[in-house]
Amino acid sequence: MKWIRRLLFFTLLAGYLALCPFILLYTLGIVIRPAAEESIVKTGVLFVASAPAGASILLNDRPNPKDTPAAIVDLPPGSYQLRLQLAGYREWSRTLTVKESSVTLADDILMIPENWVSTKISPEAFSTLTSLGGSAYVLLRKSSRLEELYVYSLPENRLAPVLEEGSPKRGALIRSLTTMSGSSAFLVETVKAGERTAYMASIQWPKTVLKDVTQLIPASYDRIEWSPSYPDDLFVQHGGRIDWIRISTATVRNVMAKGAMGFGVAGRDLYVLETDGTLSKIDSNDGSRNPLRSFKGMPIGFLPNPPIRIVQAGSGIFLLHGSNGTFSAALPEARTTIGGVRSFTVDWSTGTVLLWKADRLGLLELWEPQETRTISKPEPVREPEWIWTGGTDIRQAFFVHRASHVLFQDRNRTFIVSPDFGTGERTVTEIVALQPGTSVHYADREGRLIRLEERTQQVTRTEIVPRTTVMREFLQDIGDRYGF
Amino acid sequence: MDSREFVFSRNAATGKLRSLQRFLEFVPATCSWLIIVGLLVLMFVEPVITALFIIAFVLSWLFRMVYSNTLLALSFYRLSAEEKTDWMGRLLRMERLEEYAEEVAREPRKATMKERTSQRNLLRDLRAALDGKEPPPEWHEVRHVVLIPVARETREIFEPGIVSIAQGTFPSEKVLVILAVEGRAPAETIADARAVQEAWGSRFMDLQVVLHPDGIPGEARVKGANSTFAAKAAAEFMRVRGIGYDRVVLSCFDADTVVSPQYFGCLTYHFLTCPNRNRAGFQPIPVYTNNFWEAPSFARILDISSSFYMLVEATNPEKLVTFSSHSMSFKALVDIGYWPVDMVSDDSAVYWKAFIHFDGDYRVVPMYVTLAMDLTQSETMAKTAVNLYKQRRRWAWGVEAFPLVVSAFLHSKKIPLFTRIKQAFRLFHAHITWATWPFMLTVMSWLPAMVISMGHSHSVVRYNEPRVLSTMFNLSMIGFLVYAVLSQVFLPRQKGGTPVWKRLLHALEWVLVPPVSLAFGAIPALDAQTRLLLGHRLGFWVTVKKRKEKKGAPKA
Repeated sequence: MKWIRRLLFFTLLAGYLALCPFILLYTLGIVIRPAAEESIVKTGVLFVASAPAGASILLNDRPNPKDTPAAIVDLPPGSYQLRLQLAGYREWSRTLTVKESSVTLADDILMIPENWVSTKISPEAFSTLTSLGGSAYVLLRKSSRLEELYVYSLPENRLAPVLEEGSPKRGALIRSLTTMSGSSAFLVETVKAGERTAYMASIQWPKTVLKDVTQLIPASYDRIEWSPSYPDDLFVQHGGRIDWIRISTATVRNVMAKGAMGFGVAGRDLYVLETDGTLSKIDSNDGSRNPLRSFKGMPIGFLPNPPIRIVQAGSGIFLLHGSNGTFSAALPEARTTIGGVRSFTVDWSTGTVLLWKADRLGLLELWEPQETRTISKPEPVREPEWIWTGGTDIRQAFFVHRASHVLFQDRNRTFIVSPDFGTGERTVTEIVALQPGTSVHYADREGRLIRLEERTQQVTRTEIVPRTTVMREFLQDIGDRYGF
Repeated sequence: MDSREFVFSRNAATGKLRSLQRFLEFVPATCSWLIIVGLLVLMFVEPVITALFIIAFVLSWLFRMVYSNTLLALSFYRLSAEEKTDWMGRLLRMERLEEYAEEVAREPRKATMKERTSQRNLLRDLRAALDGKEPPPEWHEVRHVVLIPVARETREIFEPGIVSIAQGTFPSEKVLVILAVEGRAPAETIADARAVQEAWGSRFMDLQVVLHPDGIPGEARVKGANSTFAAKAAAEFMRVRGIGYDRVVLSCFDADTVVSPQYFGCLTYHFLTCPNRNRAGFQPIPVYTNNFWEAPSFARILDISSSFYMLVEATNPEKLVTFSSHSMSFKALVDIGYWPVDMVSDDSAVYWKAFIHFDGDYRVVPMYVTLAMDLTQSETMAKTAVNLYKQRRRWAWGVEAFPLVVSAFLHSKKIPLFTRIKQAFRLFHAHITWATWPFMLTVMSWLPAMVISMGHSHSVVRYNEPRVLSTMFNLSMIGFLVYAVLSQVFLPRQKGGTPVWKRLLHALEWVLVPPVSLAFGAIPALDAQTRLLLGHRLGFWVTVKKRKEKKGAPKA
């Protein structure tokens, strides 16, 4: 037995010592192929994920055993033609580059259906659609009468009138609707028998509660804003003056008497830009002012024309958008100034700003990726990446599928722009047409585009991101948030 | 320091020796915790390096599994080869040892491989006996002392063992049985011992009930103290009758031990054929089958694993240390001063004490014969789990021998240096792997991939490491399949036969190995080592053993 044991031990020991290095190298992506020209190859990985999942993968025309999502390993560095095929969807194709000892991610592929399927939500016709951006609700109007204003709930897939049956507010005409990105509350100003009334509406599905704020909101103002988390607190700018209105206590407090060029709200914090170029944070409770930075030294044209909308987008990062369409970004080590910007939206998870002009869409990274940051030369001016320059009248734009794609409305058509996957080329695909003069609503959590159909003016919804993908990403968000 | 001057005792050392031993008490737990915590920290600091280390470790574990499975299969084969051996027949023929050896050498080749294996081993043993320092005594001159320490067990637990000795093939009138009962045992236990003495005493050379008084100075409340007290009574018994200790074999059995009919024949055979029989211990294969079907699955898996472990260890006598119920030369026991009276793990401690006392000239002879014991079991599954945990922690408390062994080795001048290093490393390695490997296999193997995915999503390792690991773990299933198949051999037969579904269910229980090895292997071991480090002594805890089946008292 002794010799058997020793023979076995040394044989296995030799086997382990011989095999272990190969396995470790393989784990690092290094494959040893003695017969090949290059005997040591540092392989890479291509990770492919699509929405919806289950697309069959062809890599250089060879089928992959697994469908999406799949990690294709042991790939020698080089270019690969990747094609995805899924029944009911157009084939997706790109040439991607795999680098040695690295993972190439193609995990934001949104399969485009061969035919976009739209479902009518209601047989009735509407004249206007107002998006409550970032929320699960859409406002629909048949006319300018208040009783013909409806709320559509995406999760419930139902319409509900804003006014209850028999409401004394019936007959009022809507003068203006003010919404706030991310908020399901909205401000509606009406006129009835020559008398102006302002209501702050909060949706408590299926009801909408209208609170009369006529005495609190001035008849005219330059800007009004509220935080989606605190719709009870409104901030109003009129000229250089900023007032803080608390609806529940019906109080108006002057935060700044004069000299305000613009402001922004983040939670209960108020950021104010004064005429001397100082940006301060004002505590809305005691009014104390904390100067944050000064834009005095900035080149002419950096500060937009008032009233300026200010968005605090991170530590030391401020986005300014003025009435003249100037968009400026004050970054810790860089700045950006772009003229003619109609609007912008921010994806907080990736730190990316989506901005649009009439003819183009741009993406601006608020901070450089960790891998590419260089210590030696901070860039003083950062330009956005113009992902689409063929527009004519771009009115709205939304991030889609975890900010990998962009959906936008150009006049009365909608399109979707795909990421370039490192190739520098993006594809733009038309989705659906809509009633001229109306807008669309899209919320990534729901994955659906809501619009008024051309000609019929009926409300329809079109699935952009499959429901299963939405659910999976929702769970992934939860997991990321709580560290699962 | 002469080895004979070294006192193998927890409390005997003073001065520098005590300081050295205290320092050595820190070593096992420190190393175990360093490995576990160090890996966890390294995982977040250098997840890729940790992932590679885990892969190398799991691969080594896989190879080790192949190694131990092969040895297990060989050991199983050897056990089955000796299953039908007529040990008493051999003893009778050994009265003419030389002729017997020549006859065996001239015997025609046996028909089956098992018979040939048995024949080959017999010839080897006979030649070893002939080549020994002194010729072996006649088998009928050999006497056996069977010590059965009893703390609070009842008659239904220890009587079957006595019956099995009485009904064995070896003449029971050559066996002295001592029920070593703790003086503090419940009255029922003492009464049961006396009743068993009354019922079975006439079948043996004698059946004594020795009451171990409580509170003897220098003693801790441990089984070794009880066994030592009883062994001294046995020594006196032999002395008075003029029986030389070198003709006596002592067996120290747990109270629930039931021997096979051939046990003492086999033991006597190995005693006679061992060249240096009075510097030897004898280790059978323990199987936990007395209450097999009554115990919960996790207890079954654990104890079968212990049997497998002993089978593998039996293939390497140089490494073998006495465990649980075992036998040894009575002369060796007397020469070394019996068991330590202040150490919990008396079974392994007596081996080390003898090894040190005899300057390394002490070995354990594996015996390919089984003896049956009880699985840990209590009224409820939760209590069984608690009892099992405590039992395993007591087994792991064998680490208390580490500082004594190493300090003795450091002072020894006669044990070859290589032997000392080898033995000390084996002892250290056994305890460290006991406490850390289940953590590394069950918990840490998947953590690096998770950490890598959080911060190194562009690393190839993130995708390759889980695949490589899952391939290796899938291959390890073959090893578990071997265990599942071999464990069927150990399944005790039930009345009317064991249904196939029950056998299959038992085979599936092996999937519990990862969590069971963690909960009842690594954690109790870590517990024991940490207590040693902190200076918290572990007292002897009597394993609760209950049998659900109420059998009628065996008849004498």
